[in-house]
Amino acid sequence: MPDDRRFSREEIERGLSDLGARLEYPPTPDVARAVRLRLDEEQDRQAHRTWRWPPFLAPRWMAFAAALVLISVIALSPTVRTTLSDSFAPGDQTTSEAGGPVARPENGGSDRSKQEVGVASEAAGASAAGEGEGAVGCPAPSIEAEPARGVAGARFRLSGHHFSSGCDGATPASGVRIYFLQAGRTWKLTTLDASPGLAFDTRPRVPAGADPGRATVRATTRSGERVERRFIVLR
Amino acid sequence: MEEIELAERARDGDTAAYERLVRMHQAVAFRVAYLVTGDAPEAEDATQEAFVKAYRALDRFRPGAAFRPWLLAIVTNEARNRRRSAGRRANLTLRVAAEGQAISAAVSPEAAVVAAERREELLTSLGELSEGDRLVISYRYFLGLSEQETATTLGCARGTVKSRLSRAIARLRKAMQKEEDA
Repeated sequence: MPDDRRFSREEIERGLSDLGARLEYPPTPDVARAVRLRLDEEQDRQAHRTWRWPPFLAPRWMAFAAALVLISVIALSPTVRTTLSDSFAPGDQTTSEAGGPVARPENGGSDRSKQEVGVASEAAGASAAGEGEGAVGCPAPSIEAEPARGVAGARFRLSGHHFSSGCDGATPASGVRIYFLQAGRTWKLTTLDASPGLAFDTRPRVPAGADPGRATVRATTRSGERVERRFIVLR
Repeated sequence: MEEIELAERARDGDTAAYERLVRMHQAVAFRVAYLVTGDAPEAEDATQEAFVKAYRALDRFRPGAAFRPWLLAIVTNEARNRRRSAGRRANLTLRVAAEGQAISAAVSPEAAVVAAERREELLTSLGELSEGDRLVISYRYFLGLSEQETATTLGCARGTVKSRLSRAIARLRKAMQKEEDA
């Protein structure tokens, strides 16, 4: 083959320019609106944040503090302390035939003591239950859509937190189904598993058939627990 | 409204001005992302994310500088990071559009066929180059960026673009000769 046919640099440059004009790209998506919505949401959130309670006064921490105070009161109450030490000290108590502990007649008699122990036990029980299933030990799962508005077909970010299997706070939930609901219609967007950090982050699209107006994004766990978030479908 | 003014207004928090700026550049930004990722949905996500990041970084944008290459550098980084985190190799997924009515009446059908074959060869050989070589060629010849714009987009000096381009074309030439010999 003659050397001049072996692609000179100029020939290749011409060929590349010619090729560039004929290349086929996928159609350009319109991201301008989605970008603006995200930025507006971000600015709204930042403005909203300035009016929020300081983090140490957030409801979750307040619940924790209340539980702590309750436990402290119970633990520091002389009556309760005496009763508890009586309960755990062998030989210092007698057991009635019915099986209940008989407190020593101090501080005004056994009936009052029994009453106080009963109240304290119930309070402690309630507190323990609160810690086990409430805001502290097993936080409720939550989802966040960002932006929470978008046109049909647009992508949005959906993140979830505290998605654990059961209430051990350690096993990530699997098979979490994500739905999009609007006016009696339901679209299944995806099914996913939570990460070891009990969270997920996905980028589903607003269903193409969704109409402008209010809608709901829902995450349903295998145990049937549902978490929802409002979504606005834009025109 | 001029790009510089839009960028200034966007920097002051005007998201409507920024939306206009995005609309002006989203086509080239998406193409850059597509050239890097080789996947349309991934390129769309990268483009959107890059625009959001660019907005947050507007304070660092030098007033009066060209917005496009500064933006395309962010798009390139975002697209590269996404492709890497997805564990994908950079593949060239471009195709030559069908000819249709583009063939000039002055060109014979035989010449058109030969030219089309040559374009396919060029594209195949380009696919055999490294990502760095492919990007510098694609930005310069496919997207029509100037040497300076290509340099800013790839985060290197203009002289580096010149030398990289020269080496990339030499490698492309070799690849084409190999292809033809085969």
